Amino acid sequence: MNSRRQTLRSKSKEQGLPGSETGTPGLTGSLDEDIRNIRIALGGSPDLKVRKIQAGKEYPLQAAAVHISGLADATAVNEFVIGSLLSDPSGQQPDDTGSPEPFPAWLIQRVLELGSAEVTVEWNDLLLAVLSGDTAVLADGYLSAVICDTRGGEARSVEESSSQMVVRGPKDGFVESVATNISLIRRRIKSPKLRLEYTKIGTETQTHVAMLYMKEIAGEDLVDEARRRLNKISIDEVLESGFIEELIQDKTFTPFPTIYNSERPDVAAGNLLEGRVVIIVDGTPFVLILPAVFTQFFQSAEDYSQRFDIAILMRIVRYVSFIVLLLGPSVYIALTTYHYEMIPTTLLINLLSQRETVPFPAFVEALLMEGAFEILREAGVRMPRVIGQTVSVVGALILGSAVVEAGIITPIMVIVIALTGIASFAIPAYNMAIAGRIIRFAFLLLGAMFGFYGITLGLILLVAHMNSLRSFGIPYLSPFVPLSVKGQKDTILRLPLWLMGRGKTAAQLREEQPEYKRVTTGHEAGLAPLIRDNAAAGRSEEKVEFHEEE
Amino acid sequence: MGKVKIGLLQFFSITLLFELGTSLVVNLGMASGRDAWLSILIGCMAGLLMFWGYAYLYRKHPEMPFTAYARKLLGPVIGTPVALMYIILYMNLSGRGLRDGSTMLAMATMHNTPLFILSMLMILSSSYVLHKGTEVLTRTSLVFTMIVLMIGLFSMVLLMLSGSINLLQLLPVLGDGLWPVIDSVVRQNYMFPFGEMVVFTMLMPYLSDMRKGPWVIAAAMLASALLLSATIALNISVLGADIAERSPLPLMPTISKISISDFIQRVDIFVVMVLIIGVFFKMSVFFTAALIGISELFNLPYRRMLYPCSLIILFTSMLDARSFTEHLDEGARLLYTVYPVFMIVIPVILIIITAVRSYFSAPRPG
Amino acid sequence: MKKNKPVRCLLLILLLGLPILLTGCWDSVELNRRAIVSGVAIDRGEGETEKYVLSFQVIVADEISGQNARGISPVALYTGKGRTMFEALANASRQTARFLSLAHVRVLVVSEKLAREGIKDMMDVLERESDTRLTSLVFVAKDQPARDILSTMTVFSKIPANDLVEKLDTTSKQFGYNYRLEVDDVIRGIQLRGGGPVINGVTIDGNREGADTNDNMKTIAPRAVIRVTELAAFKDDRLKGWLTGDAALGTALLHNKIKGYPAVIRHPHEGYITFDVYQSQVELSVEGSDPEHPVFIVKIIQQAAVKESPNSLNLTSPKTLENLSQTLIEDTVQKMRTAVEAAKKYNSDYIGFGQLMERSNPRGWKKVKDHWEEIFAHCEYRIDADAVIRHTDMRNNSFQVNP
Repeated sequence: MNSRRQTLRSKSKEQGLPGSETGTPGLTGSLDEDIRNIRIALGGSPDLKVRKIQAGKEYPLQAAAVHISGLADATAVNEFVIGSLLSDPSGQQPDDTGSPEPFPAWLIQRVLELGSAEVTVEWNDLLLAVLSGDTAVLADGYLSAVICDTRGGEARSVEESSSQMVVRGPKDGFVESVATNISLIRRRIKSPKLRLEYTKIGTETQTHVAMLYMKEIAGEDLVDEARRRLNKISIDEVLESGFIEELIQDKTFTPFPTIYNSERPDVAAGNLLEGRVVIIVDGTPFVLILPAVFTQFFQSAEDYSQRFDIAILMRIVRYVSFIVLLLGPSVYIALTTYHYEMIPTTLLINLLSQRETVPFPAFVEALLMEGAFEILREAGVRMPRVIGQTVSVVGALILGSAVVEAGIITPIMVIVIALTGIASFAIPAYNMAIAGRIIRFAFLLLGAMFGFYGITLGLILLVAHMNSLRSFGIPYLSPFVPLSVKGQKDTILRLPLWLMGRGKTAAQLREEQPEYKRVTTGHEAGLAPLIRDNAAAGRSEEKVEFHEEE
Repeated sequence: MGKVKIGLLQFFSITLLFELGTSLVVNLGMASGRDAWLSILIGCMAGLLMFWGYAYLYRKHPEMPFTAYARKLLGPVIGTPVALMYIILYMNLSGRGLRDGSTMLAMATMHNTPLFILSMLMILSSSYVLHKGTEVLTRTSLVFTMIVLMIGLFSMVLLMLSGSINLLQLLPVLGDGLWPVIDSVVRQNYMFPFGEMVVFTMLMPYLSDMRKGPWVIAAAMLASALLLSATIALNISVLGADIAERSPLPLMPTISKISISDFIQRVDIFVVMVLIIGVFFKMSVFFTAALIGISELFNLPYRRMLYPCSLIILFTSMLDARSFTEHLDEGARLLYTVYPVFMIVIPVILIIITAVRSYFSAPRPG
Repeated sequence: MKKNKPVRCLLLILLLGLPILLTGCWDSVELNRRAIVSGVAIDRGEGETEKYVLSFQVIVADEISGQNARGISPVALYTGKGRTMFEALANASRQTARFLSLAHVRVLVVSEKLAREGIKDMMDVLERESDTRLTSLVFVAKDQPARDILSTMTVFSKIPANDLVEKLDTTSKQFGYNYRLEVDDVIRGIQLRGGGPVINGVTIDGNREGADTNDNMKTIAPRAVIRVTELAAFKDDRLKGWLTGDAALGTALLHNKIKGYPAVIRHPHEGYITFDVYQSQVELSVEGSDPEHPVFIVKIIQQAAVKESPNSLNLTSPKTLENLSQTLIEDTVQKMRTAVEAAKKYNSDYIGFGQLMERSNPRGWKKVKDHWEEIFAHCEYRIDADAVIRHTDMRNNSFQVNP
């Protein structure tokens, strides 16, 4: 971690582009040389296609269209760039002095049948555009190139989101293309308040990162803070939104996710309207939504499609399953090995007779089963879908029953583990479920060693830890701690829409979310004596987050 | 970032948990037998009076913890030793709280686990939470106040359903006259748990609302007194005054009387949970007060002394006494002799000095 | 350097935490190391060195719900002797392969011999030990060693102790003489000044031979049956005598512990009539300012239904019912009077008149506390009973009305 940050910082100094070992040569004006330079810069890559043409009838000129096959939309390149150049419908007009009008201007104004085309003189922009799928048109004798927007090529079409399914609700999901994703959101929010900002992150990958927010709804501090953190990132590669998430979250040392991710445009749109910021990263269908508090990970898009009473019930089920996931096996172990007096007598007799022949202590038993369960899950997730089912059949049915029949594991333990396993699937956010699964092992250990004493202390520590977390300045457990009655409308409860204020104007909504106004720089302030400033020195030692390093 | 401010609700909950702390579980005010619930209420009145004094000091010095204005008012020569003594007092109280908790835990369920291990686990957890800051401690207390109250409600309902409550056992009220109640108040209840509110003089500078803050804390004290009183009344009405009086942890046998069709039975583990939560927060509040004091007095960063202090508290608690009886006896004597000095005498002196100063400085316009 | 801090913290925690892992779990006991005790029988042994003979009825879980039952007895009885209860418990561990775990003890049976000698000493450990529960039921084995009670096979529950508990619950709802008496009830009873606890009696009917084997249940009429019997009346901690019939029922009523019982009255002309009393509420109070001569007032309100009236009475007439309820009232008063007289006979205020006095007149009580027995023996009491017959069940008149 440490050394890596060093390299990041050193790299960030030179804003060089891939392959530009020779620095930035710039356009020379000689077509052949420029083309050669481009070839050199891209390492003579065979997918770089250069089409030389003679453009213009009255004032013929040597020109070349440069694009990378696969990245650019072949139809656009063929018909609208090369085709238009060759057909030359209007011809160059001479200006007052009799010399022909400049080639780029002519190209843009009268030839290209494309939605977007612009002139550039920067070598880096040219390369980047070509690498992004644009077509560059160079002409002999000109120090500028025309970038034609021909991005396209093969991309996945919009499909149903596979990670966050709903029974009722929109079925479209984000795709890998940032432009498509923005369009999916724009289609839902036709408001001029929706603001979009682009940056490129990643010295090598030059990934497009879009930040969306609703002006007047999202707090300005929040937007500024998000922008600041995004701008501070210096990293070589951004291949998924997870990279960005890890670099802009408040604190890295926690199992809990503090930034929400979603594959669903309706979720993103809903969050935008609630005043959150959405970050879309090119190349991944998962967008980031921030700030995220604990309760958000227990909400599902469907809650708003179903009746509110049913939605509340479903949410309660999710919270309960989180508790079961955390405490299930540990409470079972604490009960049987420490507090057997609590178990009803008849049940106790049942458990006793089950345990009679089992060779392992309950703790080892639980660990074995949990381990087996994690293996099964991992195997099932990575397998192709067809084999995955086989895995679950073999694992759950055959292994489970065989293990009981062989007398290695008690049936009740299988029940407990299966219950926690299923509970982990009931949590809508996968990253929250993983956090629960990790913490469960800690509780297992505490419960096995100290019974309910350990579990209670563990709970205190867990709650304290969650209380120390913030997501872009918002306390992680809000609106429970600190308690806000107004904020309870959409937590465990999901009040009917007419009570929740969806009908209100943006300004009214903004009024009701005072906590978004005070965004701090993130790290828990800790406790500093009021009277003295030198304590701040002690505090600054604690800053461990990435974005605080500068 | 500067100042940390802690919301009123958080202050309410930390006060409530601090007051309930061990008192909810231990045999409180039982010197007055069946009227113990009364002596708690009277004790609370005395405690509120004392708290009024602390609140007065806070209003006059809203930005300073106790150790700071003690030095300001008494001068560095007297003030510094006094502040130091308070820090020692808080560490001692923290250690005593820890010993209370670990021993009671050992008595209740963990018969064979060494005290040292139980204490160490507790102090480690406390250190972790305090490492995150006092604000985290108070916010965490909000969650656990809810849990404790829910456990209380749950137990109450179950006890009613199992028909174990016999309110007649509370009669006769004041059967031996008022004297035993007063005696118990004087000996114990005005100090424990309400006199311990002196520790909040260290925390009150963090109040987010100077005007309402002391009222909220006083309300929390009153609420905790009512809860404590109700709990004691519950103990007596379930067990009878005699058994309750002889139990070190009367809430445990009370709750263990819950039995609902042989399915819900022996839920006394909930009492143990309440005990752990209570001890944890009580001890942590003293701990954090000591840390604030040290950091203020010696100009040290708050976190630097965290682990050394936790070691001191751990060993204080272990070396405090050989047996629990000795520990309790020592506590009872300290309660009668040493603590009043810190909880009444010194604050009163400070109040007088403050009052005199503000009297002389206020009227002068220039 | 700066960034090392979390690492250092982690190391510190690991350093402190690892020893905990190494030393392991002190209080953890796996379930298959436990022997769950369902009932304890306490007998008086010979001499002082073996004063307490404790028999533990241990559940053999495999036999009750396991798949590999061997067809052996579902419970096993182990006995330990000692000068004190705890010593006897520890002594029993010589026979048991596992830790005797007392948290699920549902029944404590004390032999009559020990009960007559005093149960004060043995109650201490029962309330002090954190493992035992206050909700265990206490019984006195009438005329028999307590051990015999717990070594009798029972038909309905494989665990005899559970069988006994269920019997008590059933009979307290149906027959009314007995009611749940738990450990803390007994302790509070012993603490009653001038009084003592009342404890349910239990006995084995029939032939003891072979009662502790499955043979006991092989016949349709079990050879030996555990039966809940009379109430044992104590003075302080010593058993004084047994309350039967009206005296037992009256005592239970006075304690306000039973709601329903069958009341049989003898009509002057028409023979026996049975009522089902399904609700009765008792209130005690004390009158008279002179603590030396208190007058206790027992107020009881009952609701009943006619269950059996095989005669020619016209039950459609309110007047008849009025008369019948009058006889019911007389019957109730008679029962309670018998109960109080029985208490006076044993010179033990197990009814709690003294406690009543303490609650309503604490000052007066202090004066008479020390010689309460004398006052109790001569105290006056009044019984105000009221009963109403709500209905006559599914028929009005008996078919014998119009033969």
